[in-house]
Amino acid sequence: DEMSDGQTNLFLSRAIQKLIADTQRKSQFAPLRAACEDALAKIELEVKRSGAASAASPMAASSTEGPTAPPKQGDLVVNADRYFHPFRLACESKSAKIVTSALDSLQKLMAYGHLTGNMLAEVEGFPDAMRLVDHIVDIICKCFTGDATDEAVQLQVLKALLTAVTSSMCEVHEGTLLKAIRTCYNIFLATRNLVNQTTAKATLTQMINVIFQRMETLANIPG
Amino acid sequence: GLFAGLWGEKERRILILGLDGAGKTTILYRLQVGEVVTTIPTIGFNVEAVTFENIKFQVWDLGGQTSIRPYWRCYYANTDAIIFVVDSADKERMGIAKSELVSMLEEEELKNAVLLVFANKQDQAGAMTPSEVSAALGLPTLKKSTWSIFKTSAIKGEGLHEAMEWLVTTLKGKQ
Ligand SMILES: Nc1nc2c(ncn2[C@@H]2O[C@H](COP(=O)(O)OP(=O)(O)OP(=O)(O)O)[C@@H](O)[C@H]2O)c(=O)[nH]1
Ligand SMILES: [Mg+2]
Ligand SMILES: [Mg+2]
Ligand SMILES: [Mg+2]
Ligand SMILES: [Mg+2]
Repeated sequence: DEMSDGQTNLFLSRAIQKLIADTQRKSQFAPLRAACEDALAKIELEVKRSGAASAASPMAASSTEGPTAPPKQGDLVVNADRYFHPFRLACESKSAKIVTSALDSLQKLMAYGHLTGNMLAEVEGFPDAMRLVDHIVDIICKCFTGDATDEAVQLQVLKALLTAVTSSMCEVHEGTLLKAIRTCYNIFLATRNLVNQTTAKATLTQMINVIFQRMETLANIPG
Repeated sequence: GLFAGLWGEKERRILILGLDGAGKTTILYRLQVGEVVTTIPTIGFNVEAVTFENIKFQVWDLGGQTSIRPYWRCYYANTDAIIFVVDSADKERMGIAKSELVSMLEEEELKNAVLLVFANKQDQAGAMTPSEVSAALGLPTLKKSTWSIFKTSAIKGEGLHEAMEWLVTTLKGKQ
């Protein structure tokens, strides 16, 4: 497997390699590919510096067709917050295939706690004092642009937003929370795909219950 | 032939349900990539495309924790098959698994869905046999015409292929 050279066994690296494969060497995606390669090199360095490289086995030959499988036993974990940039470019690529892949990987990274967004956004080059998670959710929401949005993208937006809001590892508050809810509602109203409509309704139901449960928990704290 | 070709193109919807820790997510990725992945308790949903004998399935895996079970029903519409997974070694909670299964099957939306029960974790010492699981869940008395139970070990990858073959044959027969 020619991609395994020097690569470590990391879900994050596999997700980024999947993005590279999705660009299919097309020149319009050259900046995305460069960002991916840059991130992979930095991850490799980080792993080497931490001394974990020797413990990591070379990457198993994994197909880049279809979605990326979740983390495997023995995978190393690095904080993915520092490597959000390629996923951002992928979400903004306007290629349904690349966007779908990026959203699927973002959701898995968040669900497994590799990506929390809990750091300040300026670390990833955003010019403000917001938390990274606010940008992550914003970028996910912007993948839905109306009823013409690819149906696979719509489904991945719902999946990623539900995880962002319900995960105890990402903290989504206030304006960002409302944005997530509004996006699910907009998909519910606009989609022409029955499965996506059912999923949007389920996602909204669960999100709203979680929010009320949190409010009640706060209200019950004495004082 | 032409008919088989058209039939094969239609994507089938499968829901994997069952109590927390039964092995649903492990089964989903066993089916999709043929490997054992690391799992965490499912809070939202996983959905993956799985192709088996040229038939495309969209397989949904929902969380089984008590607080999340009420959302299962939100996903029932247009479901072709339910895979109900039980941890065969979790004897204490067979009664809870049974009541979740029974209330699920009362739902009008699942009337035409085929039921597969996976008596999972057969590799564990002290696991109940499929017939013991079947009796504990009251499967023979169910008001469901098309169902079957399979002994599986998602960790070892055993029993899943047989179950999927039965599902494909059964769905073809229902055409
Ligand atoms: N021994 C054994 N363990 C299994 C088997 N299938 C799953 N497990 C383990 O059981 C644990 C729970 O598996 P999951 O697939 O996460 O369970 P789940 O049903 O998705 O749980 P929720 O998402 O909380 O509803 C994990 O540690 C699995 O490795 C099996 O066949 N045998
Ligand atoms: Mg959250
Ligand atoms: Mg699960
Ligand atoms: Mg998935
Ligand atoms: Mg069970």
